[in-house]
Amino acid sequence: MEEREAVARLKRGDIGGLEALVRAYQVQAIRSAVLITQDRALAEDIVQAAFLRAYERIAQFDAARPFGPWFLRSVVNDAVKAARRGQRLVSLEGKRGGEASLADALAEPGPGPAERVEAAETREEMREALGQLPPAQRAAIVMRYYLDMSEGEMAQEMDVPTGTVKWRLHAARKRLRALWTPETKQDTSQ
Amino acid sequence: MKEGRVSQLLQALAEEAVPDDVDLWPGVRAGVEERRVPGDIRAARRRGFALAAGLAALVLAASLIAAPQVQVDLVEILGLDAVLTRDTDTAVTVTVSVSASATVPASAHTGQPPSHTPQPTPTPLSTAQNLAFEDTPLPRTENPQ
Repeated sequence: MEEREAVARLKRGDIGGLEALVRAYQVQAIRSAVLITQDRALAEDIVQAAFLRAYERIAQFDAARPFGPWFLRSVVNDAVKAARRGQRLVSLEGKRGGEASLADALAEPGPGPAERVEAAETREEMREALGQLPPAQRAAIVMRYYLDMSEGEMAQEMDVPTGTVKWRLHAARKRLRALWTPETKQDTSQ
Repeated sequence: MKEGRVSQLLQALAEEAVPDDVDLWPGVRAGVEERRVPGDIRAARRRGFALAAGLAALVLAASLIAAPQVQVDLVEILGLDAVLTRDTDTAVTVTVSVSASATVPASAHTGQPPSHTPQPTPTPLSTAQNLAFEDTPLPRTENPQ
């Protein structure tokens, strides 16, 4: 089902439209939220709540616009708020039992060659550096480099001038560069 | 640090943290079904209020149009003196002067017709009719000092 058709069905109250949108955007949305909150369970809660809010507010949505940026902006905003509150925010290093944590996954090199170990270490460095950024800067990095939004799209979705977006990205990149250890800058493989 | 590398690393981090087969739909569907019933009740209440308000407005408008005496009584209850004069065959001029005292005439309570205002033949008012309003300045009261 095409996105526009799904939105039109949802606007008519057809829950099938919502199902199509959930299936289309859930993975990307949870991944965006987990990069900001660094907590998968919290990220899933945020995305589920965002879908329910989209269901309630779909009448206000302009069907001429793409659903993805509108929805993902909402998820990113909620993730930033949750990260600020620190609710259910658990240190990945301290999380044990149940599902495997991001740190556990990264620490596990798998059966590959030594480069894979290095790549995993690099990702771990990156994760730690990202985690030390303020939530708003984390969100800017995620929107620009994970969701691949342009600065113009970010400005439109965040309802701020493009200059503000550029400044936030500049500050985030500068901080990230400072946090990232020099050794890990050399090789990322993959 | 190149931007392409940042994108690559974020992608890898995200993929390792959240598998492709994650499925939120059962939880979302349950949430929607929970919210549907109260939503329907709220919508029914809104429709009921709108219908009641519409009916009340209709009854009020009908009574004002159908009973010219009510128009005069209302004008008096509001503390206004009204003089209705027929100017032409189709137009009615209503001259309204604001009275200093906004007392409710006894007739408003007793149901007796007002005695101090000339009572021309009641003519229903409508928007098509020409209504002219003329204000008379309020009488000044002397400052006691």
